[in-house]
Amino acid sequence: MLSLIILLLCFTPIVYILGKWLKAKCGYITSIPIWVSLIFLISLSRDVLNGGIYEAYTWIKTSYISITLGFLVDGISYTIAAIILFVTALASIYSVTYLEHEEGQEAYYTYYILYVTGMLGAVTSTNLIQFFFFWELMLVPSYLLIAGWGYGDKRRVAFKYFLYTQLGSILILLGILYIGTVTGSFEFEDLWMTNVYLSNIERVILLSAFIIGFGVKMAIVPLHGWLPEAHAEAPTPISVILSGVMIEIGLYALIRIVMPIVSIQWNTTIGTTILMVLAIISMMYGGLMALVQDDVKRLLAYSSISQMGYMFFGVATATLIGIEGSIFHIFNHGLLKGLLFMVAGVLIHQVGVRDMKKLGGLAYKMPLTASLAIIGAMGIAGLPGISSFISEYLIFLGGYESISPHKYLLLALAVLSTGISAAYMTYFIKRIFFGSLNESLTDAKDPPLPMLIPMFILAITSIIFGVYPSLLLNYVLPGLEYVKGVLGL
Amino acid sequence: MLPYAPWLIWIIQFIVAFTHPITEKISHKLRDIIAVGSVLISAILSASMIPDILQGVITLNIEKHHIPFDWRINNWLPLPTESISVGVLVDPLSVFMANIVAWIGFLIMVYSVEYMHGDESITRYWMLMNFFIGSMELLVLADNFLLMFFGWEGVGFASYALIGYYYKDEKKYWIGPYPPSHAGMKAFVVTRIGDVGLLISIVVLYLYAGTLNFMDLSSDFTWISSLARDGILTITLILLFLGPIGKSAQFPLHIWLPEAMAGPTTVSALIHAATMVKAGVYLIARVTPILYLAYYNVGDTILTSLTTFFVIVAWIGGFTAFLAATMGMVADQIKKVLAYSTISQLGYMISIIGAAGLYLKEEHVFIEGYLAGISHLYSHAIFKALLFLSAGAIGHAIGSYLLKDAGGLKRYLPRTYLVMLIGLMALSGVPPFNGFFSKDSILHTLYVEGETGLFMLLAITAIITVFYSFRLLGLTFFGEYHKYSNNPHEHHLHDPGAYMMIPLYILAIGSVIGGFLIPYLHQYFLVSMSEYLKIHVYESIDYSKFIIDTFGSPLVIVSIIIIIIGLYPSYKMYVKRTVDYKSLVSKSGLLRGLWTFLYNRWYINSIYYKIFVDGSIYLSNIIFRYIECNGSGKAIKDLYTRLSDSFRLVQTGYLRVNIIYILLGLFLFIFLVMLLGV
Repeated sequence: MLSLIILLLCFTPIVYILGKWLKAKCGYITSIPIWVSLIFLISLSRDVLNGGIYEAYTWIKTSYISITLGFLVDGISYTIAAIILFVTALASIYSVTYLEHEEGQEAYYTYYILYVTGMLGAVTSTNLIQFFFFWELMLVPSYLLIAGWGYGDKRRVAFKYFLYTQLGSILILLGILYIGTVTGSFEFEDLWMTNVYLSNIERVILLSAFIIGFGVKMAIVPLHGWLPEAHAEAPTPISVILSGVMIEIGLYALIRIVMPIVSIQWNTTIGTTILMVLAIISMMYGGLMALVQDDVKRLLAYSSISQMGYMFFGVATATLIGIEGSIFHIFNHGLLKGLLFMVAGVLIHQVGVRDMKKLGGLAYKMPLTASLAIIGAMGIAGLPGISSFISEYLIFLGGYESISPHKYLLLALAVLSTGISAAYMTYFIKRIFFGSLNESLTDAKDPPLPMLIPMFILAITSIIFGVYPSLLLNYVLPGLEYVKGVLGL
Repeated sequence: MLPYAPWLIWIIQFIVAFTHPITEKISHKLRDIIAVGSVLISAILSASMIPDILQGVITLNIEKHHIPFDWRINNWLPLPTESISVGVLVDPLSVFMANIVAWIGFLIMVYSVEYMHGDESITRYWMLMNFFIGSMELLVLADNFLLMFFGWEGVGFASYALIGYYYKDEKKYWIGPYPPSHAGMKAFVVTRIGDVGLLISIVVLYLYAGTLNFMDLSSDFTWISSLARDGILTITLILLFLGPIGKSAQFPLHIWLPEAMAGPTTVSALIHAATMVKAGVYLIARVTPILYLAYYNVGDTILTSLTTFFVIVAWIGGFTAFLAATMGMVADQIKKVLAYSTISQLGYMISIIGAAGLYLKEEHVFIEGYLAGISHLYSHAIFKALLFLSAGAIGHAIGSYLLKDAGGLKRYLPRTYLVMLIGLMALSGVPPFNGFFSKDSILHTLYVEGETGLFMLLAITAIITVFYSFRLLGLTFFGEYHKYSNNPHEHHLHDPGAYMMIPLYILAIGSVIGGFLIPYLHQYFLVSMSEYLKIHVYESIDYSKFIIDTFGSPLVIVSIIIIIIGLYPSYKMYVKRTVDYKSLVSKSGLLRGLWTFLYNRWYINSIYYKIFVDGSIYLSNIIFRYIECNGSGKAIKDLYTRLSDSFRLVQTGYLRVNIIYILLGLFLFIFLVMLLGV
């Protein structure tokens, strides 16, 4: 894995130099190391089935402290790393058309690779310091990408995003340092020692700090203030990554870091109930807000808040099935929300309009885009045959298996919010693609291939995993052994 | 059975659905042939399974398997504890449904060739139709709830896309105040509410039973006793029933079906009359025998819960039958009348199967009621497809489905008149058309078992059915043809061509002789069900006894009285037109009030819109405006905005300032190191 990180970093100067010359087309070059990494990752599949691979290097070694540079690929990080690489590789190809008329493409692609490196590093890290390093590495380039190539009031929006996340990060850093000081180790595998060294009250405080810290990234209501603006104003390929994979890394951190520390408090009737309620608030709130948006990207942003609620719900249940569902949902949400943001980008690029009040009847002009958008929308609405149905189903199974005394009510609310999803997604499709064609849109047509192919691949992938989920879930299952150990199931 | 028949039936359809865009490029003719031909292949494959069902044994790779035969693929969805397998189930019910779907689907596809001719996006039409047939076959052949749910939502999606087929919302496709794209969305969201209940109950079932397979659920019944022990058996079953309520358009989720008529008429015939809306009935018919077996294995402890459930099913069905029939009396559009009638007839089927469930202790009553429901499903699929397709022929001729645009068409469309008359007589239950047999057996079962309330409700509904059937006939074919005397469609004003007429004739023949085949249908079901359900009511067909029982019972008199009461006013007002119905309504305040009440669909639709559509958007707007943009959300956001604004001041971008920061930081670090003495 270290070689992959180095490979990606090596490409930053290459992309920068070639970018001056190739301009937007440099997106193809950018995707090369990402595809290579993805292929390498897939080649590890057999090891993942056998429990995963672990590699470690000495990073800092003094008499006081020793920190390793470790990489772990098990069922959980394998799945999430795969979707990160898959979506970012496609989004970089998508950027080629998208950036045609922009300035400074070389810087864009350089930040892009750094951003991918940050995310890949964060989900494969094996200790807290290293995790935090990559966690920040994915923040800075994304901030620059929004501020540089976004829309509207992009500087302020980007800075707000930066500050929101950074204040969360401070809480995370304090938590990490506290754990390190008390237990004397930053390794993930030593996190169980907190059970020995920390008192209950300390653990509850830590849990709150981490939930807030990671919750900002995950945009759990009411910490979601940055998300609708940042996702709506970011350049569309970056929105794809922000919504599709980045916010989910917060959830990964919850499973990997927070759960071992507070597993005892978490897996109680009160703990699960509180967290499940938080998740349901996100689901419902995001869904209802999406119903009343007029801006295409803002609707999708609120929908991400709602979908994040599903994933959080699965983890909050503290059951194996729920967590399996959440991890699978991370994968599927990456595919589907990526697809839908790409559709929004097509509208911006081909039609130049993102206000749904001014759109309508485009299905006739852009049949391929419309079909792809319908697949994406139906996926978010949880239609069987598309992979997200399976993951939502597993999440609901988890909800039912949890030990919360109010699980019937909570489950009913969670399932009910799929009704809200269906409503805002069909409304979204109807307002953009159906109805009578607006006079000003008669020239609209389907986008060029570099935009179309990534969308097509995402749609097909989501259908393949929807029809045959065990293709992926077989690899997720061994990763759950870790969760089993953590929760003592 | 042809090799791999239960798999190929639906897989072929899915594959074909996605090849249309490619074959279209080669030849339009080829595309149409593949679209229609593939359904014929599926139909032949379905039919090839009937002999196996009759023998009760399936031979597969020299191995003999008993019916019901469950053909599984293991480890489809791996879970931490165990994995879910999926497969197809070959049993009388699934093969029966598969045949209905494929054969009626085939006739409608043939009809579509002419009906949809010249449509600009016919490729999309074929894609969705094939996709629909594939999903529907998957729904009925699936061997577990989860796979069935795939088909269930697949047909829902196809229905959504085909209702909104004319998505450009030209005014002529509107149903009342709703454009087709709105109607499609309404159908999807309303049925989805029912699906929420279905999905919750599937989750609960899985966690109690550890399986969703129909055969496993009916072999070990600890799940049902644990559900009963936890006191959630009834509620789980009712949640399960919410799925059929949505899909089969039963009260209180019946409101989507009338608008679903916005799609092409072939779609209304196939999806919203003959097959998809039967999915709900199918699910009830699938679950009822399992509950019957459960009762025999677990005993009286679950009887109260089951009875409560079946009472609810029977009465919701009965009430819906009545409710929709009354709305059908005043509907202003040919297809809308048929839509209300579909809702009403589905109510009959659900009601009788529910009533059968009330007699778990008396096996012959249970079987009689159950088979009456199945028979009605079979009859209705034929005559309602016939009626919708004849309506399509009328629409094809006059370019409108509004009753006020029709009238006096008997002279211009004699053959359409003939087949539609047959269809309406079957719907009204006139002997000896097929609707008579099945409706009579429903009423007979209810009457004999003393379910007086349901019997009265459904008998009154039958009267109303006769009334609106002949109202429809009178308003379209009798009186004067006036409105369109100088319309652009004038040259169309004749019976349709062979592609449309042949399916109509076949369905008309089916409606005439179908009723006489019902004993064979019963035998087909009983051969293997008697073993599965461990009951002994099966006896070989005594055909003369069947005829005597049917026509010789006193209930035939009741049926004839029903027909006469319903027919008389209808005939006077709409066929002979000796009584002017318009002045009749406008003169009497009571009738006018009743008319308005029925025409507005008992105001149920508008109340729903007020509460759920306007309500949720209003609520979201309030939250958005006062919380997200102004309230606490704004407070946090403002805090950050202020923070970011003030923090930005220090980021000047000047190199000299940045160097000062770096130096300051360095000094601070050194100071800290000295202070701590590290």
